[in-house]
Amino acid sequence: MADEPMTYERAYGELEAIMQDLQEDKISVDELTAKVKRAADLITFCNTMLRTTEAEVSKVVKKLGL
Amino acid sequence: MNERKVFSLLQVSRAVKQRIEDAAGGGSFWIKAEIASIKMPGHAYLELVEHRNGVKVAVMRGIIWNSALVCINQALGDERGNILREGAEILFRASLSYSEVYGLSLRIEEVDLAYSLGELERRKKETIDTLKREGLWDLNRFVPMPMVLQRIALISSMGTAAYEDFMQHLDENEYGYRYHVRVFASVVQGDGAARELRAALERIDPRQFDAIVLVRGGGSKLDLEPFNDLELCRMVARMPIPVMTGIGHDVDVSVVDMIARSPHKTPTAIADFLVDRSLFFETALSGFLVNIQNTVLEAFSERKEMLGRYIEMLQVRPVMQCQTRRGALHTAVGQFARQVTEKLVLSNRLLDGHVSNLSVLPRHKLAQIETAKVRAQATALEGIAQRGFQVLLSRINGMQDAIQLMSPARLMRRGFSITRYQGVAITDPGAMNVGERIETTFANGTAWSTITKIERHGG
Repeated sequence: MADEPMTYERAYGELEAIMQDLQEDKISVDELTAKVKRAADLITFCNTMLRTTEAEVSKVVKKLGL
Repeated sequence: MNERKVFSLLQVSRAVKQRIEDAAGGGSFWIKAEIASIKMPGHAYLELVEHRNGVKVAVMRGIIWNSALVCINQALGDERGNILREGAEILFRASLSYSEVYGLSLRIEEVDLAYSLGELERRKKETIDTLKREGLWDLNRFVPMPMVLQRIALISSMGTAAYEDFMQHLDENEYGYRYHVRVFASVVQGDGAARELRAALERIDPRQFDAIVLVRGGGSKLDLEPFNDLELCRMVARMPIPVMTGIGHDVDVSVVDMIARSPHKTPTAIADFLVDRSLFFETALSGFLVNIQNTVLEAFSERKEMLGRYIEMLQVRPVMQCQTRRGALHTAVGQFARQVTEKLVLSNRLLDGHVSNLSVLPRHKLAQIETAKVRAQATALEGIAQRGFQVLLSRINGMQDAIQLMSPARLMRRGFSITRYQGVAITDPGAMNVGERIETTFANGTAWSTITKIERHGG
């Protein structure tokens, strides 16, 4: 999805931004579904990576597509 | 020729020994010296030196007999290996001893532990001062700490308790977090430890790791020496990723502990820290999830509510607007009436004020004015009166003349006469009748006559 590899910091930053946009009503109802899905994907990525061994990392990243 | 006196070597040695032992008087002294070399076990044989400005200025042999060594080792406790070693400066109590075979030596009976620890402190302070002076003191301490520390470069002595504790704690964390640990093996105490630690640090590519962990099991105070090494501290300070220490000393802190981003007491404490940090991160993520769900739900219910409010407003607003306008009008009229009334009351009040001001003007002032006026008038009148009197007098005089001119006697002398009827002068003949008698007076006499005819002139 992005050129740079996803990191915990980037995921967190993106989640924060989504959260803020939501709270400030910046996201239209149409965008809402996409944003919520993105947030869920990011959280899944982080939770999976926290429990992934070094050997499995690249495999997991590929699977999650982030 | 005098017979030469020849001494045996032993005789000389004994004489020297006697002189020296006499001079020393069997007493002992406190002496400060550096250990150039030491040979153990059994008895300890030392080479003691003193340097001044890098030049060796004194050398003497030292010996610790086994019996004394037992006591000294006991007194120095855990630190003995760091005190009785090459390169250490020590303070000791010794007596001079001379052996016929080995020559002069210092027999060491006691070593001062406090002095050695003091030396350590002094060197530590020097290191700290140097790091501060070079601007390295805060470098690693303020390096940003990633939210999750998962890729760990571990500097440790393989197979030690410190290493095992750390690895076990990380591997067996109850949340199932995985850490990618790569070990950079190094001796962590004793001679050469500082050099090995530096070499291990040099092998680490900081781009590949989130943090560097430096662990060691418990040890004595002087075991910390390698971690006070200036060059090692410089390298740690310059590391662009957090350095975490678990050097395992309860009381004392090494310089590396002081400059590391995250110092801990033990290797286990570091492992706990890493796991806690991951847990904190994951908890924050869950927080996001809950928050996002709530916000979305709220947004929907809020929008629904807002729609309801709009509809209501569309129905009610026109009526409300009329009401509002009417109210405003009413208020305006009321205000106008009130303002007019207020103005009237104010004017009345002003008027009353003027009136009362007038009434209380001092009366004597008025009187004065009036008197002055009267006086002026009186004076004027006096003048007028005088002038009037004279006019009158002259008039009277004129009138006297006129009266004299018009006196009946004078008139009658001019031919006029007065006719009287029954004693009264007659101006209208209407009052008389024919046949009646009348009396006529002239300047020089009176005549009586009877009326024969009466004729009245018009008017």
